[in-house]
Amino acid sequence: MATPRTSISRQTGTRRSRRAGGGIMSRGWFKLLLGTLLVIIAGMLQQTQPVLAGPAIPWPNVALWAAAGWGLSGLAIRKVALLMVFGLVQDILLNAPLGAFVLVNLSALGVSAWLSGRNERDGTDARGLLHAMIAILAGYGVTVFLAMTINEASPRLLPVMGDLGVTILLFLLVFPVFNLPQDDQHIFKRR
Amino acid sequence: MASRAGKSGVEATLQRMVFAISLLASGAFVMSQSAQPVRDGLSGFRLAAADMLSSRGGPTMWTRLTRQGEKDARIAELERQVQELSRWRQAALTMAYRMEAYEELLAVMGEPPEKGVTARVVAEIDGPFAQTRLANAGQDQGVSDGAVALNESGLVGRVVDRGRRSSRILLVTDYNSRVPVVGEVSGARAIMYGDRSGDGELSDLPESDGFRVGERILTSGEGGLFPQGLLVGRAYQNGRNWRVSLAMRQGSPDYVRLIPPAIIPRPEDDPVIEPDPAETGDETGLQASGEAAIGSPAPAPVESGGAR
Repeated sequence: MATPRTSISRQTGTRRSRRAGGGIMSRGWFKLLLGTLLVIIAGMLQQTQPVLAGPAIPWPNVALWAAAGWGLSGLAIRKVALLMVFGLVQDILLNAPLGAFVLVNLSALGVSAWLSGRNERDGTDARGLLHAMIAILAGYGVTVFLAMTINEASPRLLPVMGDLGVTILLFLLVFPVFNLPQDDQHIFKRR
Repeated sequence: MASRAGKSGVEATLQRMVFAISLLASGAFVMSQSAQPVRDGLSGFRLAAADMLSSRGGPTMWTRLTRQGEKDARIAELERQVQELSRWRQAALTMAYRMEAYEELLAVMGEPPEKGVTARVVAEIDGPFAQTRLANAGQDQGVSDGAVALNESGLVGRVVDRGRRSSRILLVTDYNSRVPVVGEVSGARAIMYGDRSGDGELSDLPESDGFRVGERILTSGEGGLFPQGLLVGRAYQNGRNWRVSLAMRQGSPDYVRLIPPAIIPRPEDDPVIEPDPAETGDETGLQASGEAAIGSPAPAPVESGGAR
């Protein structure tokens, strides 16, 4: 009798953990979808800038929000794929060489995942927020480096700094949207 | 549990590989575009995608949300009239400059007549890579390749990408932009390029008789990309460098006029077609030359003084 009961309890435990895992996955998917929608809406609004408030206002790099926020929970392939799509759209809209913003987004994702994996989450969002901001800075660093390399001249830093400031300030507000539950397997996580 | 852990390990490795491959591939893709053939190969895709993503045919989201269509239409009509008048003013100033030049140099071929389309700027990209604007007129509206963009105050830039319904304008403030210019008073010539401050920087200056502070800087028309006499801005000196305060900044950023470039074909591209003597016949040819000989006066010797 003992053996079957143990077996049943193990099975129940497995079911529970699967259910719990499934819950995390669905919450993660929901937030991923929400973040994607936010990026798309902000990108569309950016296209109407001359109508809204004139062409010269700084605008956040919303794809970097996604890269920096999503990276905290790991490097799932779906995130990489979404960021590649965002990057290609940015390349076309910003007249950058194709692949440049893909590289920027993936770099930010990698930095964010690396920082988050090196430092265990302590249950608060403060450290994650700091890691994400560092990832955004890294993303802008890669952007400026690519621009310097490709144009063989330093880019105009004032608009870049304006965009960076707006990106970081607004990220404080939208961070919860991009802060996904931890992936089951974080590749940089200490084991 | 072991199989689950193994599965997680495999998945983590797969994620790591996908991430690394994506990162390397995007880096290699960017670097590969330093080659002109690769850029040319991708330009078709880029234009089609930009057309799809950026062009705006109907009312924007903002006007739909706020129902400001009627007010906007009235404002747009008034703005159009103001721009039209400003354009005429600009055209008059430009014509005055041309007239002055023509009076000095008799029998100079004039610039081709201006024709073009007015387009609305739907997006401005002031990123680290390029300073461009996207206008909602393209090949279907008659925008020609390399068209020159003006607003009511002066030169804005040049069309570098042209789609069916949209065009991308490289601003004169971009570092990669090069505009041959001439000082209106001094007549000094130089090349203007954009810099990080948003004004123009003059290079290839003449060694003597430079520009004068405050004089108007116009396009010189050299190279054939820009017509002669378009207002670019006013010259000022910053240390030892000559710079141009751009006139386009005083105009509206929302509308541009796109006019065809003043491309003059090379003689070998547009040769004179001589009539074939075999088709006209010897007799006719002789008759024609005889009439010419009778009808035209004999050329006076140089030393005869007939002209006096």
